[in-house]
Amino acid sequence: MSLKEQQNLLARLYTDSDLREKFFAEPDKIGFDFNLTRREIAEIVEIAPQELDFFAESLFWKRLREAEKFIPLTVKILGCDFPPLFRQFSQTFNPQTVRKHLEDALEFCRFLQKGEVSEIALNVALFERTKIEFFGYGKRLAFCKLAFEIEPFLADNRTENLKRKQKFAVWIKLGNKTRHFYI
Amino acid sequence: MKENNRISKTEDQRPKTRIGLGFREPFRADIFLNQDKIDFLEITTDHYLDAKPEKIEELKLLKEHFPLVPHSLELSLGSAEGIDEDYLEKIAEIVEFVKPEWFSDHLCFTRSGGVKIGHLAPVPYTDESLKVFVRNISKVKKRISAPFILENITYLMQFPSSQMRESVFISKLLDETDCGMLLDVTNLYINARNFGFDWRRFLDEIPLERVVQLHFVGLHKHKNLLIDAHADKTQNEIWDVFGEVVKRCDLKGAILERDENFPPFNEILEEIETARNIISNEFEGTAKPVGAALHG
Repeated sequence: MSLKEQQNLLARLYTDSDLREKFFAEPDKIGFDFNLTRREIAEIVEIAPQELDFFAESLFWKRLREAEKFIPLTVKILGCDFPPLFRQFSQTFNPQTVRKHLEDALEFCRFLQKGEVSEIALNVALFERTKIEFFGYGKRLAFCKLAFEIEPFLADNRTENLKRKQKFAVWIKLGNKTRHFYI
Repeated sequence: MKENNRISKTEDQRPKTRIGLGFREPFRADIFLNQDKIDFLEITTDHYLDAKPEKIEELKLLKEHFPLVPHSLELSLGSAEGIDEDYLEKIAEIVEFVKPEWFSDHLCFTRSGGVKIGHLAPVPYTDESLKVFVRNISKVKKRISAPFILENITYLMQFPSSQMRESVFISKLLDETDCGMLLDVTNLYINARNFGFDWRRFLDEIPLERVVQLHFVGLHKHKNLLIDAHADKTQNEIWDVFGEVVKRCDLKGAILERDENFPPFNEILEEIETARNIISNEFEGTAKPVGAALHG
């Protein structure tokens, strides 16, 4: 059954940069944790580290590019902070459903709520997360409580002069028609 | 009825290789507007799993207007832990609904130990991997009766523990499973360039009579590596491989597989036309192996 254990380790190495670093520093220690023999560990160590790194990086960027399609406003407001934040997030979450990119986008918005991003960014992420829950998962009603009037940002992506004002963004499906409004 | 007419027409008139497109939502309107220029569509099964009613309606509509072939992404045929039965069941339902001439997935693994890798990962070409593929493919074939064809992937890393070349591995696998092959000519060219082997030798070593369908699209250059980003126009070097394959085997179909950086649709149609022209020009009485995997 060595291939199974090797694949368990490889799948983690491809998706977890911290583990990858530890493995190349102490391959035996990590390999034994995955129930591999010395020979099986050696077979993985023989893979050129730069090839493994490049493959893992390509997976990360592919994942990021797919997820960002669902949350364009969050990506826009985070700017250059988006890739490092998504990298942190990707270490903590592995999507399990067939709609993995949607799941990633949704969970990333949740992940942001725990981090240190601006309040406006949190509001934009909350807005998109609720929108994904409504459209992506076929809900008939979804709403979120916002601390800012974010309509100007939705219109022209400008964050200057956004007014602090509590509002609910609401999506509702009545028959085949969808309505979106603020209260 | 329209679907049947379309198929029988291509069977009666040569060249019979159909040229089509991987269906993507941004193409939807243009595909229907240019129905006469697209012989068939490849649908990504995963887009219709646990889908909203609108996607199911879309699938029904596509089925009414085009012959479809399903292409799945996550059977993970190379997973030593085995096939995900729930996923297989969902794929089976789609295939049974579409009733295609064949369906396909990849020669790779995509999950292990509860981790979904998120893309197609290579396996070492060993006897043990071969046994894993044979066991998993046998489960798929037991559940789904439509002919199953297997696609070669690109890889950015190689396993020094491999005991045989990729071409030998694929040949043994096709032989043992009696599957057809979906030969991605772009993937073949990219691997050959990145890892310094001769793609013509690869073609010499695989059973070309089992090649049923091709994938083609442009390659993407990243520093000194080539990548299958599915985002570029098909380049001349890929057309060279395409032409060589067409010369050497009798195909049922070829699909342009574009996923990113969508161009105006007339550029897509031009590529489809180029593929059609290459096949027409190559077809001049040359004896070719006939796709045993589908012709029985």
